[in-house]
Amino acid sequence: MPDEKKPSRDSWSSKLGIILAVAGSAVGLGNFLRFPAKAVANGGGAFMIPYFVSFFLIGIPLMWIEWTLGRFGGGFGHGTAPGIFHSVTKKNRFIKYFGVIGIFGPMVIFMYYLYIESWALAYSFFSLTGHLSQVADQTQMQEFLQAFQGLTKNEFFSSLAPAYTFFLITFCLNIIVIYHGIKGGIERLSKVAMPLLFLCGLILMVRVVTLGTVNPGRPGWDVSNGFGFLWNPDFNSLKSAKVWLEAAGQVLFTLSVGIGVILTYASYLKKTDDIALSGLTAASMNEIAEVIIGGSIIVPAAFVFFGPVEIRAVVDSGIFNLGYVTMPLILQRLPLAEILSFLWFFFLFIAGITSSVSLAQPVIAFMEDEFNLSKKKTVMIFAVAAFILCQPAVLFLGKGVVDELDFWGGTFFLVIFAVIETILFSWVFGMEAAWDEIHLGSDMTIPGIYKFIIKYVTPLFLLIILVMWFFQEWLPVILMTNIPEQNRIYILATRAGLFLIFTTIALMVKIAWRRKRLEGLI
Amino acid sequence: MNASGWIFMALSWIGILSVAAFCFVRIFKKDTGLD
Repeated sequence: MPDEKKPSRDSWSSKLGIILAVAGSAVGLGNFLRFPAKAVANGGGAFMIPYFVSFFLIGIPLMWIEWTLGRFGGGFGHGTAPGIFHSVTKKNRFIKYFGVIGIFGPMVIFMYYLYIESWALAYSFFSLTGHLSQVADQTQMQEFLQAFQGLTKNEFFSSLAPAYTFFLITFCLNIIVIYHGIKGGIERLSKVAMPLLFLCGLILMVRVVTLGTVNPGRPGWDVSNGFGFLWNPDFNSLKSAKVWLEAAGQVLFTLSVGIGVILTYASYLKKTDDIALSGLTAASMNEIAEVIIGGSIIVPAAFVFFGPVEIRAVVDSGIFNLGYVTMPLILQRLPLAEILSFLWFFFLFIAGITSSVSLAQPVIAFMEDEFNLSKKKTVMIFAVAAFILCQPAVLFLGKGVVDELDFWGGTFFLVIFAVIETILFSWVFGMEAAWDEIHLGSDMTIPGIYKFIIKYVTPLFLLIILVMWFFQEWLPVILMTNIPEQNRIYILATRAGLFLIFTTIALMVKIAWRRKRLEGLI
Repeated sequence: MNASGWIFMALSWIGILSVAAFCFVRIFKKDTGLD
């Protein structure tokens, strides 16, 4: 039974609402850009073996863990990890500080994600105004993107002002949705945006599938071979530990697990609302967006226009180049170029906004739940703080600030948090209690094998990923060996800022709990 | 695309769509009281 007196919290109005909101949080730019690039680089069709193994051994279990912990904590009036962990561990004094990661992580991602999301809005606008169709090749399109980002100047952009304007519009749109709360803002947005996203995706997919051969002189550059470029399996890749790590990483990132967002969303459920089937449904929607739609647009289209050699360079050039440089060039060679280009970037923007509003929610829930602040006051504080915190990503993009924020918020702390959650759930909460909690009000019975998987396999798998990544990929980043000398001061300043944010949240947790103790609430 | 590519793509698509269909049919049945 809940042991703390709480005012009534926001809630979801329907099961479909939370499923679409969680799917909206998970479906982001990574589904349509990162997944196809990773699959091509890591064995094509064979990549799907470690991908699905990871999906069933870490993706689905973490999804269920977060839904369960979230709903459990919500019963005690907590929507974020500090309070949820505190409730799960029967009020351990220190565990709430591990939960700080569940507020810090999404906030850090929000700090740069919003800016990248605003590029999609800007490019959808430039598609309709005809700016993009005036750019002829890869080099010019790359210059267009860099000038838009304020890194260089060209005939289109002489300052950061246009990019900053779109950042402001995107910021305001996010704040409006967040202000309207779970039911009136996020659920309403998800119910409109998700069907729209799938519709845009399907239109683009059908357009790509019906491309055939666009260059009669190159009959091999057809759409079937485009799909083959992504799907033809290279079984030798399965011997590489790197491929297995990349697949596990893609599954972690794509499902939005290990961030803290699903904990918060699930905390607005009622005690007897289903979570097992809803979690699986949201995950399967994400996979449709990623594997079926994401795998059927950019790589087959790029293959048809650029062929097997150039596409390899395009894929290796990074996911932003795929989305913002290659894709507009492809689309402008098709009939109705402006409309298709608009559709593509608007599609990315919808994927972005349903994710960014979810990233804001843990901070909002923390202030509302633990400080009893009104929605209006909470959103005002959040808007001012978030606006200031977003500035480094906008102003110092060229100095590597976004990559640094992505490393700490979107990779490092994500895996750490996933490990903590899994251990807490299966070993501290206890697998028997956890199993009963998952099935409370459940519309499906989870196969019994998952009791074993969640207790042993998922934590072990995550720990292996953590250790291997630490030595193989993270250590050079932490030691800044890959950072140019002139950028190191910016990276150090970013780290100092992140340390300050983390400490501030930890201090707020301490203040909130002291206040509750004094008021006799705990 | 070679035969293995088609098989991998078909199995992935069928697997994902089957899970999604199972979920949505189940939700529909529960919500409409058919279950």
